[in-house]
Amino acid sequence: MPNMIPETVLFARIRAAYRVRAVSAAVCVGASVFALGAGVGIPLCLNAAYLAALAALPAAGLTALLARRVLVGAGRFARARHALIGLTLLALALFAFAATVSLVHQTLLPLARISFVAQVSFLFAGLCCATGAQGAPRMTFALRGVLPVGLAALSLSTLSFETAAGLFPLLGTGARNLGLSALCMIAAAAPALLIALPPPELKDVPQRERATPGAWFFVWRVMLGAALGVGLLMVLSLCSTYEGLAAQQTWGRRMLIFCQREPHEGLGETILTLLQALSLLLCAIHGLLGAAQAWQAVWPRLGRGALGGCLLVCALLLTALVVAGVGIARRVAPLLGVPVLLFGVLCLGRRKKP
Amino acid sequence: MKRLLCAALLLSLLGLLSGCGGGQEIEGRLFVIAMAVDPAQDGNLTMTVKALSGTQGTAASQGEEASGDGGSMESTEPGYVTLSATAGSALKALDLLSATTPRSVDLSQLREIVINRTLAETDATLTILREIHALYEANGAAVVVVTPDDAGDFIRRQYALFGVRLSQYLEVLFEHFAELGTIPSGAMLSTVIGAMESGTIDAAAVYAAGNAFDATLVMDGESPTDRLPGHLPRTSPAMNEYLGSAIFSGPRMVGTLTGDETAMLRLISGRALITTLTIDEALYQVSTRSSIRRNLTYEGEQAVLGVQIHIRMSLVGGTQRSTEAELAQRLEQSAQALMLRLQAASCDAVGYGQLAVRQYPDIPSWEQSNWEQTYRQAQVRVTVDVDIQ
Repeated sequence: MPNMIPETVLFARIRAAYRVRAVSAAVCVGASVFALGAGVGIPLCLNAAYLAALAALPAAGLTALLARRVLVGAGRFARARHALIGLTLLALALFAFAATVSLVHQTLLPLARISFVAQVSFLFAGLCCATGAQGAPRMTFALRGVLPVGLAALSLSTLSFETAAGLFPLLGTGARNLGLSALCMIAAAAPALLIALPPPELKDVPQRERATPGAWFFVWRVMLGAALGVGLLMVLSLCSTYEGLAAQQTWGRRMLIFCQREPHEGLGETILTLLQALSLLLCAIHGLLGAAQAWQAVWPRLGRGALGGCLLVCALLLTALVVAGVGIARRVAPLLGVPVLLFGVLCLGRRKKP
Repeated sequence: MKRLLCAALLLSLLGLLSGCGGGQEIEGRLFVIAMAVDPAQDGNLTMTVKALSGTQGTAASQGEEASGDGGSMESTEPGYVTLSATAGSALKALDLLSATTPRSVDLSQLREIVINRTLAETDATLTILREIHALYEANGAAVVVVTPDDAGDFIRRQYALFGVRLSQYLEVLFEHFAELGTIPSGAMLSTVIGAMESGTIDAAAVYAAGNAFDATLVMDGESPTDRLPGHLPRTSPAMNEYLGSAIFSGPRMVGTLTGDETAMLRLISGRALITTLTIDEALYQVSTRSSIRRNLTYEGEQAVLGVQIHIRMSLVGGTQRSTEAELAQRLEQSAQALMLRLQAASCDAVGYGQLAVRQYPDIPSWEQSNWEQTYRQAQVRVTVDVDIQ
């Protein structure tokens, strides 16, 4: 007699797998909002970077919505779409690695060589990827409470609430720079493309499409992740005056949550920085895994070689960045908005009839 | 295959994580506890540091001087060593210290930075503090002190009067005076740098001086802490006195406040930690329901700097000799005098600029608003209400 899983149980498992995927996308969106905001938003509009980052919320929500349509078979040019997702997620992984290396090298390990920091970060990510496509998402899902709560609690505990002086002037360097920064922040929606890829464990499950949750299932999670990223950028503004932010010349130091008015360096600040680094690393890991899955969809013959190929390409590009300067990654990162917009165009079209 | 890959990655991690990450032995660093900056000849700076020597005895070969630009090393107490170097900038002086001692300078345990008053009255202070904080990763919570004495001598004669650890002694010292309110809040390195860079608030550092114990002048009828340090009628094994504030306008020191004026500044700024007040030999407990409000209003073109102080307190010792109205009037006069003094010195240590900036939408319009002049010409309005229960 065939071993039949009741349909309700199967649907619950499918939904659980999609929940893990949605949480992974949310964590990655939050991390990329923060890294992009600190890398591009703060130099452009100083203390108003968090306002510009608000543009990432609707961008991420819309991208999640369109990605969900792709999940259920809508849109045209499936191969082109997957190739685009593969390239974008690979670039996202590289950006996240660069952000991690900057943060760790300029705050936690200033005496270490930057190449060492890059190697350790990449090896950590490589180990996580080697556990299989389900290991890292499950780890992220397990941290879905600890990570955002830890980040929020520790960053708020560093603040001085005597005055909200750091938020003013509200528009920062001006409306024009604010608008430009908001355009750049669209790139922070790139991690939401993960939702367009079905969870690997559901690849051969025929009921997958019927049991796919509705759009709101993904959208609210992704927007919550983006909102946390915006919140952390707001904390950066509260920690300092606009003059203090302008004096910070390096990407990594800008990401450090350190309140000028109430300085206390210690275990709390170290743990906070480690949680930030972990979030960025998770973004890199999911980017790599997602890119490998997307390229496998483009060329099924690649098989497991897709992950190896993505790791190799990422390693080479990261080495090039370390040699040339990781700051290049933050300057080029806003271009990630282009594939996000292209993806939107490719998603338009009639839903495929079953 | 997967296990083989994991094993290979783990093995390579072992190689990378085994001490190749720029780790440092504690004995490999020169941990500086106190630092002093003095002006030297020809526009140079003399940097003096007091650091942990890690030994119980005094250092050998005292008074030995290095050749060249003047690095010198002394020892004043067991466990600590004092070194100095003279160079064109703070950074070069620290580099010279690193080059002339067999240890790298580490400012992560810094508790105090003492700056000579002559230097503090120039624009160089901000550059010096920035270099120390950003380039040498100094502890952002180190307290900035200004002294009219030789700053190097100030830290040479400083030692742990209580306990054995100078670092702990200094921490407790600053906490204690902060609770009394006789030193300013926000005198920490990163806060002072932020205030000096900011156009919305000005910095206030601790003011300190050494006492030769040859002054016996007692000011009758005045509060004992309504003075500056250096000539207080007292004796003690410790010469250094910390009392009052050095106030800045931008990066430049523009004046001093006595201990009582500093306490009033903390009260107006909402940063007073005091829970008791002694007035006319009566002791009052200050209630947590006391409130201080600052506001900035405009009457036509002129700004009005307003402070509303509402103090609730209860008599816990002695006899009340003044009525509530008299106490209120006295506090009002003190607050008004302080505000006018700060205004005349162009020092916005209270932070009215932080209220003014809210009216401007962006940074360019704020920077064109000429707030400094508006602040100097503003009217001051202080109201105090005392409620003794």
